[in-house]
Amino acid sequence: MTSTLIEAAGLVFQPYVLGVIFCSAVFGMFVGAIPGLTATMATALLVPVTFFMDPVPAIAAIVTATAMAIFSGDIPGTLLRMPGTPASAAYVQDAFALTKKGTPELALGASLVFSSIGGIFGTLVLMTASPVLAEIALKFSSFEYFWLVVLGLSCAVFISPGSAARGLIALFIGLFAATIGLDNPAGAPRYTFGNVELLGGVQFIPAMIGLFAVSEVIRGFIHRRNTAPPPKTGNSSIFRQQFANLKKYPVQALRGSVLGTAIGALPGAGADIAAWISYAVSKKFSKTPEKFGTGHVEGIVEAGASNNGAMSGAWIPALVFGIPGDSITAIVIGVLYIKGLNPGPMIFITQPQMIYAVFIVFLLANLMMLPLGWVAIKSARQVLSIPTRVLMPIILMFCMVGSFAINNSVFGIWLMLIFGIVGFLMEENDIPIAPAILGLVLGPMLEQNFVTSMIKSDGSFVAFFERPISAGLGMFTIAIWMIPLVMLVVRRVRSPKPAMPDA
Amino acid sequence: MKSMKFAAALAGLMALSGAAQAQDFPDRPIQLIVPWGAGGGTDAVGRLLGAQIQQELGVPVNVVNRTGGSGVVGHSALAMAEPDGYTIGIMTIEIDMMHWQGLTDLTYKDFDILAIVNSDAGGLMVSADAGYDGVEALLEKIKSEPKGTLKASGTGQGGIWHVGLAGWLLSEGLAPDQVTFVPSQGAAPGLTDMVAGGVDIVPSSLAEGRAMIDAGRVVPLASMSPERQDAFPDVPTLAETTGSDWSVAVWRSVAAPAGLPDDVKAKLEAAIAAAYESDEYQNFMQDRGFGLRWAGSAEATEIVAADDAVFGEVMTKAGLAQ
Amino acid sequence: MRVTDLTLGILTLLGGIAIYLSAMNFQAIPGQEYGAGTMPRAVAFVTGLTGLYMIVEAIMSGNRGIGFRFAEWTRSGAALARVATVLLLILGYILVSPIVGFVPTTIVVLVVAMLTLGTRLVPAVIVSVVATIVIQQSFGKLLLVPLPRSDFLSFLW
Repeated sequence: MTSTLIEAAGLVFQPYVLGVIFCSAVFGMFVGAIPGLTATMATALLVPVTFFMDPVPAIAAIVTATAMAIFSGDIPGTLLRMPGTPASAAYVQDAFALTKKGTPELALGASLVFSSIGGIFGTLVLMTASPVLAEIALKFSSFEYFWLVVLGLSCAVFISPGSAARGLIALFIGLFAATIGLDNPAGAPRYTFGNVELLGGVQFIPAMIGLFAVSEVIRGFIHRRNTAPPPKTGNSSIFRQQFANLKKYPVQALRGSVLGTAIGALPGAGADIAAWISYAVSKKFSKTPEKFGTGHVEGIVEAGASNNGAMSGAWIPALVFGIPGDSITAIVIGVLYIKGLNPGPMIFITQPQMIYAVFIVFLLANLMMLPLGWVAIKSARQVLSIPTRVLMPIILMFCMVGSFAINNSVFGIWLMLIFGIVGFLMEENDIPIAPAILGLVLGPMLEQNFVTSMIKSDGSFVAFFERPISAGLGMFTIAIWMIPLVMLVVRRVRSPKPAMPDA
Repeated sequence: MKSMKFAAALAGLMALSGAAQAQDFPDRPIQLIVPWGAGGGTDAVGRLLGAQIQQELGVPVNVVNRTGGSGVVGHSALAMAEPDGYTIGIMTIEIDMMHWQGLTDLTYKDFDILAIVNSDAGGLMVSADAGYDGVEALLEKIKSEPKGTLKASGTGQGGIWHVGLAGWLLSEGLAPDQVTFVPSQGAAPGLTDMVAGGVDIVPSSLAEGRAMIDAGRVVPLASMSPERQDAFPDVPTLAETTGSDWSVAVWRSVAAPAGLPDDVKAKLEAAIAAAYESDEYQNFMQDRGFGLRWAGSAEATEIVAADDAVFGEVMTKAGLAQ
Repeated sequence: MRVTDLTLGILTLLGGIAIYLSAMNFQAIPGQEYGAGTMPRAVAFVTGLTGLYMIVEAIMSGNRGIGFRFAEWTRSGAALARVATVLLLILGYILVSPIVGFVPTTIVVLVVAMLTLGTRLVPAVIVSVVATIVIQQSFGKLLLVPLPRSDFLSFLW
């Protein structure tokens, strides 16, 4: 064990490997910070470069770049309300509200520090518990996934500000948009009107850019507010407040790390869902749930830890059984095969030093995130000093190029434009945007898992409660639905007196 | 408006001079369209091949992913590009199925097929927990249980392994839907679901199940190929076991829009051949467990046309064709 | 444009009905009860329910007005013109960039957008050119995004 660890360290601590790690960290920061370019895309772009590297630097490059990209997705989310990666969308409301209050450092510092904490926690779990956890996740069939998706969607409606009905409308807009195209279990074209591009459906990235960013650009053009950028609280340290946060929210940080890692370890469920669920959990158990969405750090702490925990967690099934936990690890599995490192239980026996080298890289990447993230935040703040009249057009341009880049087609820009207008109208009517995004992401999973489950069970709904884990998840989901109803009843019973929640 | 006219005039000029410049081909970057997502097997093959072609031809080869619509979007983009050799792409087996499903009018005839660079035969895999000792036992079970008791998965509705399964069942004298097919997003989710107890059979290529086979969770019962596969010498063919002559294989090819000038086509085919022979490509394919298979333009076109006819027949019988 | 609660409820209900009707033609997977129509119908059903709930709630709480009112900003002709400009710029980029190429289209879009927001001409042009080159280099060169290129002006990259 010790000798393996030393051997593994020898593989990592070489000037070349460290250089690769540094360069890919900068690259990941850059890609993640640009709205429209995801951590997945950072990985995909790195793969051709890694063809020419040894196994350890190749894996190191991907691990570092993705970890950085997931964090740096928070930077545009916080400063411009344009989440750089879908995983940042869950708490973009709070982060942007903090920017409006003039304390973007608080939001970015929290997401940086707790990203790092979540990532390190996830790595420790990855190192110790990977075989056990993957064994559990491997028992998941479409029935379990169906409940998991329903749970995620329920959370999305519950965490949305304002009335539940408006949250539901947003969710249905997303779910409906998700039905467009050919990629459904029946393989039948829906709402495509004979258009080839529409067969591909509504791509998530352009739609997200439209809903979040273009609607903001349109508002910027309406109000043409050349308000001074949020005042710089220049000397407030990015890190100092975070010790206070850690003291104030230790449970949240831990819960986010644990839940994120666990969700990441499930095949198919990645950082996005982890962030959403953790944000909802945080709000549910918070002493001050009413502050969520108004620039409250608590949710950022928990969800920020969660999405980076999920990043590490996703590697558990990938390394142990060669089953990707998310799209990034799917790419990584491909790279591992190229390098002759076939993921699976055998690799732990035949080449343990490789596995430990990967673990060391994980720790390095999450530690290096702190100084590099600090630099990124400091330089990103310059964005705020650019007046809106110059910034908005450039943002618009980034939106268009990002929407184009996702499938190299102007169709992405059409989608962006349409969803920009939809998003603008939604906000004019106080309809929250976040549930629509989640509906769009999880809609296909919901449909896939429901339809295939029904085929497997020959049309019997009982099957959703026949398997033990599925039954457990199902009852948990239903219990969550019951909470608002129970609250309603309780309030009615106490009703004669004006309801005065004392918590 | 003026600039549009200017652009149009200029484009016309370029087209005129284009024919004369064919012997200089290529003198600018080539685009290689991959109709599947970044990170998948087809993407990896496309990127590696692109890098080798780039070395051969001395101009950049930019890989462009055009995804969605089960491959229809990317294949359409390729077919609609200018047939000048500056847009090529990876064409996958879906081209022989999507038009039977009524998804598009596009067929292999809309392309100049340059080469087939990979082929993987289908197989029959079951969960290790299921306890089948051979494909005969599986077939016996399929026959003895009521229709639809057993479930299979591993690709989308009407996808290659769905057709492969239906073809096998037909060749054994059974109804093509004797085993219910559960659509999935690909072989990996299908295999995961099978190990979790969701389905009984995954009829995908054995290469796709390699990690699970090595992990001892999945058992390969048979290969749906005329001969045993090099990577899996212990797995018998269908002919050796049940006596069925059914075989099915996925291939990946390099293609261009139909109407390529002959000299450009010859140059591209030679470059692809050299890329195929390169150590990088050969090693990569072996490491990934992908089957190496080379067929030049003429032979590749025959293979694609033959598969098109066979799939049409099976899909019609299975009710998958429109 | 803000619609009243009752109107939003009615629109939601109508939307649900429309999705349901349009999903009638989607077939089930052969031999199955479920297929392409399942999801749209389920979405339509719950959408309709939500619409009904909103209608009932609006009527019960006395918000019986139907219609919409324009937001404050729509009374300003200049604001309307700016919104029209930004939408037209996006549309223009979609239509023109594949023909003319990325660099010229982007410079024009950026300059017009900045002028619309009140930037002075000279800074607008300088910033636009610099931003265009930065975007072109980072996306086109570094990330290998095939930005639309035209055959003239290709000397720029």
